Amino acid sequence: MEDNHLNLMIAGLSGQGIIMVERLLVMSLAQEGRNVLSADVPPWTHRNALTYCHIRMGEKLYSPRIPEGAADIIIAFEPLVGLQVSAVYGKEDALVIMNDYTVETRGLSRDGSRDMSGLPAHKYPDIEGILGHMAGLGIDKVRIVSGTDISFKETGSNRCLNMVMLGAAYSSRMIPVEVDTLENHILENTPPGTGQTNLKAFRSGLKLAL
Amino acid sequence: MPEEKYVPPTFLKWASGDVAKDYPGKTFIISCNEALARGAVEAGVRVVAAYPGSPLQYTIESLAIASSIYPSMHVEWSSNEKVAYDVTLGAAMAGMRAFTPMKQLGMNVVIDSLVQGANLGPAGFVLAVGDDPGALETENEMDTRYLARYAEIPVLEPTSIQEVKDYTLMAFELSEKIRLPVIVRITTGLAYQRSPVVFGKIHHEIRERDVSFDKNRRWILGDAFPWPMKPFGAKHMRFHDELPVKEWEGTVGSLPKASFTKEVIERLEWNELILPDRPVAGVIAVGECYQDTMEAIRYLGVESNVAILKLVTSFPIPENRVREVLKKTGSVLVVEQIEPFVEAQVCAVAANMNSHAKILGKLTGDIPVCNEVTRNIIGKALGKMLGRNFLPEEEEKRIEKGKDLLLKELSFISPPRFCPGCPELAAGFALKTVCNELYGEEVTYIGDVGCYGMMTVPPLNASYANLSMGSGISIASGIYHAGSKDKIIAYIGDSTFFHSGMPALVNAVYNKANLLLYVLDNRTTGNTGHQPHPGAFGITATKQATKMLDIEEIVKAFQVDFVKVVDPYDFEETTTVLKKALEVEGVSVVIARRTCALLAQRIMGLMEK
Amino acid sequence: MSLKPIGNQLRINIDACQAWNAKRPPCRSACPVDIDVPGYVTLISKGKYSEALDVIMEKMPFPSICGRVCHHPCESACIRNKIDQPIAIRDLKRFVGDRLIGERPNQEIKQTKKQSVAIIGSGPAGLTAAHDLALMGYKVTVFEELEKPGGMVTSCIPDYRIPIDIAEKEINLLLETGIKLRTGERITGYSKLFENGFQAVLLAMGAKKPKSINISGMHAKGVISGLSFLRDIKNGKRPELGERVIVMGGGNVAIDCAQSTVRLGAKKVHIICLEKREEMPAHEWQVQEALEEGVMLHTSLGPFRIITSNNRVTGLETIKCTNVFDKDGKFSPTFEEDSLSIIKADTIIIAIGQEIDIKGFEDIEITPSGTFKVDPLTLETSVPGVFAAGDCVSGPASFVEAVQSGHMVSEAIDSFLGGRDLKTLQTRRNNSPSLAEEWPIPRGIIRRKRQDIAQLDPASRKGTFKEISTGYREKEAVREASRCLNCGICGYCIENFGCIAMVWTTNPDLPYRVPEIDLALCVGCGVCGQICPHKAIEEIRDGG
Repeated sequence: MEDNHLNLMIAGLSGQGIIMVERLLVMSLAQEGRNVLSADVPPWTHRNALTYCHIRMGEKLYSPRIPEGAADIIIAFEPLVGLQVSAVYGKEDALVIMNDYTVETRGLSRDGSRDMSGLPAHKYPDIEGILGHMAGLGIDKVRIVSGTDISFKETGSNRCLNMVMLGAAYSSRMIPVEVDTLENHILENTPPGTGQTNLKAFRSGLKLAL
Repeated sequence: MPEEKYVPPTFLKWASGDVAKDYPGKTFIISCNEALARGAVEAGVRVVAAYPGSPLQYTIESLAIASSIYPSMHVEWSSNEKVAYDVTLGAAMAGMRAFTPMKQLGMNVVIDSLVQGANLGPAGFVLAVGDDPGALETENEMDTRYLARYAEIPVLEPTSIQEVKDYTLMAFELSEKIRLPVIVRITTGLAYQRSPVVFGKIHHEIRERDVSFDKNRRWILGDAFPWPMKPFGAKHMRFHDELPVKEWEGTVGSLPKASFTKEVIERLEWNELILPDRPVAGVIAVGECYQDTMEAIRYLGVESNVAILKLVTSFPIPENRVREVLKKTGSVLVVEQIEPFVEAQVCAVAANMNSHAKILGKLTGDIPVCNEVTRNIIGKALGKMLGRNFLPEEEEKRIEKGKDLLLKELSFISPPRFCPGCPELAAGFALKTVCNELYGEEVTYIGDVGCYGMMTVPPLNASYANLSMGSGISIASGIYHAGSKDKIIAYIGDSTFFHSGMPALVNAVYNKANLLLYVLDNRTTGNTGHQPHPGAFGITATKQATKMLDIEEIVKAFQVDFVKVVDPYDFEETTTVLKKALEVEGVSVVIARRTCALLAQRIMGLMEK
Repeated sequence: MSLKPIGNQLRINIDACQAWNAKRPPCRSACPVDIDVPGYVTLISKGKYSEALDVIMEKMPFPSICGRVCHHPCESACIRNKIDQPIAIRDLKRFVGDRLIGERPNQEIKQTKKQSVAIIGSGPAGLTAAHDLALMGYKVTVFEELEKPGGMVTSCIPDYRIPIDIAEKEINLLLETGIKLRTGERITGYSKLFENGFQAVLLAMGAKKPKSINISGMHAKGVISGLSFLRDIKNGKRPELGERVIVMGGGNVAIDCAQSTVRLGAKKVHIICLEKREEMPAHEWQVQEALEEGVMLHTSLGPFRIITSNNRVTGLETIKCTNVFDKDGKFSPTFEEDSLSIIKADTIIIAIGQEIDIKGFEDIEITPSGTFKVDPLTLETSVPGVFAAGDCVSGPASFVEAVQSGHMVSEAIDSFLGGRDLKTLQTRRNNSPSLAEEWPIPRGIIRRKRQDIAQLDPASRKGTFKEISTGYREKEAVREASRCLNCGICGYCIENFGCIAMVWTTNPDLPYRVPEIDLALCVGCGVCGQICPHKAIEEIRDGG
């Protein structure tokens, strides 16, 4: 981390609640007197499109956009997305917190067997393959989190995946903010009526490290 | 340059819905779209009109909230950008501040009214245009500034979200001073940023002032002056120091208009110049690029020995400040998004003053012309200019390796496709099925702009062209008139139909084209995030009930030879109707109507609550 | 407008979906050696030629030869027949075979078994069996009476149909897998082989003894046998024929003789055959080629006597044939009285069929038609340890049938020598039903004619034995292959409709991969359910 700077990136697919995490982190950091800027990359309206956001914190900031190869922490809501984003933005030695639930789109399939065209279909790279690619870029600190499963288990749906991932990321102790501040924001800044559920999901993510 | 200590604001809030409220001096975290809206609200804007286009479509949503607080404010989704421009121009002619945000492609649509409208001398009239370096959201990279220069309208390029808010406000003042529209240029990189912004005072008094449409003036193409008309040839010349400015132009004084504009811009404090005593090099950073340029300079640690001109007015440029930089440095790097627009102007200034300073940038290849300009690109160019490496070589290799990985190993990751349940996918599939059966490969499908652009790719492969809004029908007609023996299909979306499809359809009917127009009516503007339009649900931008126009009735009035509405979720019905329609000689229209699946899900979700 | 049916969800009824995938595509069912035709055709359409070749080589060790001489029953079975024209399967096979002939790596052979097998005859049946047995790990020796291995392919079928260099190259590649070949050695009797340490003997010497008829003038100068005529040409000889030639016979050998005659410069070439046009055993496309080249075809015409002068042929007196076969389908021609006519000729080529030459193996039981009698399951002859395959069992048959018979006999020999149990034989398991008849043709198939194959025009075929068909070029092959409907494995929903909620997955209980609907993405529009040709997608009513 260069002079008190923190470059944090959150990546996932459209509809996974990335902007909410951005908002909670930015507000919490700002409330504790940090200088924070953020940018979310143009989300496509379409389902399952890659979307990500930059959060930067530091004494003197000009641009909210993390330069290529300079992200300290990457929170990835999907493995392949994690690899895509790490490949461009991941700093050497970056910490990646990665959900292990794969979302398949067409052109990908888990088994890689022949499809009807007789071709071996594009194989959705297995987690080892993804980690291998990342290690090749010097990114070997990858924490894999069963975020979607935990979200289902704790809240009955996958909608709180973002909170689980936020909790897991927070537990890395690299995000300089008090847990109470963050939890307060979760209660206040999430859609009305969802605060407690979100908090529960956040805490279950938090527990993962302990 | 001393590192300033960051002082956190005492009040800080994530603005959601607060953008339009009066909170002078308070700090809110807002997005670029919200900043544009806030700037306009603070300026006391009265009329806002736009057609949805990324990246600026959300500005209207914030302004719609404002209009619910300040009822005199009119906010609308217009049927197209030119309509929006004309509506706002009218409001400006009536003496009210008016604002129209659009995407770069919208600027192309507006250009007719834009060039002529500028000559009318409207005051308090601001356009925001979203350019897209890297074509992240649109089909192409285009540079608004050339059109602005063509129309001879000043361009402001804010360098931060705070500046977006501030300069939008000040653009209104500037426009009133120089009696020209003013463009605020936003680039995609800036358009999705969020940062704390200090709110200012809202000028309610400006918004609530009386209409002052001057009926004594003749607002006629090309100029505004009392009767009788001047000879036609003279009109354009008023920008170029030839025509004295009329008395009724009040604030303008006796300066000719163009040089007056230049003079006003020259005096603006916005173009900050940091000029050390003996700078080793100079940098001119335009708009959004200022951010990453400063990041690169900071990374290199050369803040105190480089001359930095932060350029907010990219047209016209503040020539005196540029001269100062050129005088003091041997080489100047110009950093800007998309085209070397400022760079060329700087070159012209340098040539006129016989400067020997080397001007580096996109013209010299130090910065690539295509794609977004980012910190590492700027850093590399800066490093080269200063004779040193920006990133360590190993790190550069590592970043290259990462990009290679994306291009080679992960190239299979599919681009966005039709969402599950998309009625346009169902409709397209039904059409392809019928056409395959009836005509085999002897079909020409012409697309238009919308989600159905995804029909161009497998597995549907049912669209061969995709140009500009509303062009599909006319291109299809042209292919027919050229003598094609194929069956000709043109697609159009519902929003696109209202945007510019109607004149094209009228033309096709009138000139006896033989084609099938397939209207993919998903009852919203799907691609940009579900904005309403004249044919959808009967609501306006401000959520007021209004008339709902029925495309079926409209095309009936156009006397097409066949028209029928189908539900694309009903495959059998759709294919049967399509078969019938395809047999019809002349212009037949099939409207595949079904609400966008994402919107339907959202509405269902709301109903559950 | 109502928002329904959004909110319901759909699932794939795997049983209904699989019911189709479990059936065999018709082309594959029709193929005697059971090649995965849709598999390799689609691979070609994607430019994956070496993978396509692998698929072919699983069942067919001679892609380039088969790609030229096969009578392609697969094409007659192709579903495209119902729509426009069948896929040019044979020529696609030839395309990959020719393209990769030099690059094909040999399979690694490990001699793991002690027993050795003697194979008599190096035609397609013998070589296929030799190859299979070598792969199984047996020591294999092939005895060939002629100088070159390959049987009819290298000794008789003319160069314009299968160029000798290509055939030899392909056969040599196969032999390189470790098969011992002894040419120029005629084996008479099996006992010596057993004495020399072979544990099993395979008779695959084919049917190459020309049949003869008994009419006057048969021994005159200018009467020659079709097979030896073709063999001479294959050996580079160019026999003197005169200007007028009559070929007797209605099979492929007769047509080949006639076409060769044209190439040697004969002005008038006649074919006479007893059969009616539609009864002719020759392949229709070959007959067509001959007609294009100016050969005059006289069907339902039999030879009466050969007219000679100075013991030299001057013509043939013919008689009209009313019926070739009797009610039971037995060969028993009847002729019309008083229907004699004369065709003038300098040469008469007799090509009325072949039979097997059992000289040396007289002690082995034969069938009434003169072929070796074998047990239908074990393919063993009346002598234990002696097997037979190919034309010497079936009588003259096609190339691909000989290959099939080679595969079957190799497994039978393996079983005899203590390898596998015959009941589990791979090649005989072809029991799963073909989906040819009831396969619902999905909607939206584009009618597209098959890609033309470049051919020498009839005029320029004269005087040269250059190959008639030049085969597909890459672009044409890919285009032709892309016409394949891939009826074997249905993936219509994913491949044509392409909703992103549908993905391929593997079900461990099933041999194929199956489509699956991702319920997290599906919104329940129900369109896939309507378009599935097999009605295998159903709605889950969730009450919502």
